[in-house]
Amino acid sequence: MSDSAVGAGTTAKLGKIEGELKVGRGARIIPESGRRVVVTEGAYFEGPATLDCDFECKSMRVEGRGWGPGGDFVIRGALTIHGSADINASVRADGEVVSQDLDIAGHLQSGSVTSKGLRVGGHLTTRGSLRAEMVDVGGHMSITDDVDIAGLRVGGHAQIGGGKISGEIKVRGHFTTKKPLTYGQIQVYGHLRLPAGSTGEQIVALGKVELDGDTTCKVIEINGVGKVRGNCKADNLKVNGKFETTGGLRVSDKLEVNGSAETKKELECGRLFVGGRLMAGSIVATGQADVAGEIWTEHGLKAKAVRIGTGSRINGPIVGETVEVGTGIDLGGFWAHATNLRSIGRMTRVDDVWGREVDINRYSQAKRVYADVVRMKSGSIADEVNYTKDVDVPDHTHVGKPPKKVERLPEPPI
Amino acid sequence: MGGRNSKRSKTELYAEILEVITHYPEGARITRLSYGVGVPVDRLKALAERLCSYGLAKKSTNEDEVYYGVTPRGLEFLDIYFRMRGFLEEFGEGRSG
Repeated sequence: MSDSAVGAGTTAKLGKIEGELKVGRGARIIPESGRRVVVTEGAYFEGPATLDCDFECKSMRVEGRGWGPGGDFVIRGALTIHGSADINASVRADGEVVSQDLDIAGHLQSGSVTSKGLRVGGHLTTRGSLRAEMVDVGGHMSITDDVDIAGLRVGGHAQIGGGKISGEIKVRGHFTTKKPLTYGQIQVYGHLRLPAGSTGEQIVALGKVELDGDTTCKVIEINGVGKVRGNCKADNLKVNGKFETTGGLRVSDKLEVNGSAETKKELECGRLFVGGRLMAGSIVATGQADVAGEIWTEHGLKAKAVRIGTGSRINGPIVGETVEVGTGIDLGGFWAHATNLRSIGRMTRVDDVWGREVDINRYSQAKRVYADVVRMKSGSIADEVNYTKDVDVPDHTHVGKPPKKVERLPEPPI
Repeated sequence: MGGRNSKRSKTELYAEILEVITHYPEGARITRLSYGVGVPVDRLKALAERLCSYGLAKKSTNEDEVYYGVTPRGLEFLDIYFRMRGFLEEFGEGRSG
């Protein structure tokens, strides 16, 4: 095994080096024949250098004195490192970069990149694809083609061609993808934009989210502004900011709205918690609906049990097996405090109510009530009460017309 | 996050330095940071020292090498900074570059 050395500032013609290679600062390496220079062991560079060839080695280390002009490590070809690379410089490679573990202090500008681990202190710009397990970028990231990554962390903005990121994605700036992305858990501080056909596990958005076309994601948490241009399907959806979908909204488990949410069409969910404002064509919840805010529907709200908190407003008919109007609802945490403050001194107002059992509590007002059993508390108001089995209307209750016992109730609107 | 054309404000620089440090959980040397942030070592040293004096970054020494890390207060600053930057961009006041 013979080690080789290239002096600082010199140009050396190399072929295959059996052993290690030591290269001085500002040196230039050109191939003896063909395009490729191969180093069977490690390549050590005392500073930035220019490799006018495809370069292959077992491991690589490039020393640096810090950022400054003319300090780039340039490869006019492909770079293949069978082991790890520790590069204290910015790297510009015309071709593909392949490594086991690539650690670059500055920027990386190259063709496609394949590396099990990839850390870039500055910006990562790739004219091609990116295949890696963990990608850690301090600055911005731009990948023109698709990616196949397990985990991604970007300190600036990230733009990719599409593909798959199976694990955690944390982007401090904006995150956009040109083609559909299959993702794990996305956390974005800036603007998130995903095209139609993207699917994933979780989106936690602190800024603005735009999902083009029909979207499927298991867990969505919107803390900023979210817009879906199409139908949206999720297991759990939490809106602390503003959320809008132009199509239908289907949440198989829990929908929690502490900010405002709007869907032009039907909304289907398991459990429903509204501490803010919800607007929909119609709402069908298979479980319980707890409302401590406002709901506006065109065709109505239907749930197994509906509990409407004091000071809440519901526009549009309500249908439930049990409906309680004007009750205490604890949404927990910060939102409980906010909704409690908002409800002070406010009447609870609802539209027409259909149910098996309906309770209208104090300081609550309903329009028409249709139920088997109706219980009104002193201080409650209803325009009209229709019941089939029992009614309780104590003193100091205001009912527009005397309660009417009927054989059958009219069909609910939803 | 160096390599930008527009001049960065002091707050932007502080945030970028801290952000790049967070990508080195083992501690970041000043030369490495210099490439990531795009600021010469001598200038970066002064900025990093100031971050340490504010309690946002911390210094440790190992075999004569100085390594920089981020404190919990620094992480808090970063979280607030990036959230606020998101808001400012929404208002059309922040810069997205």
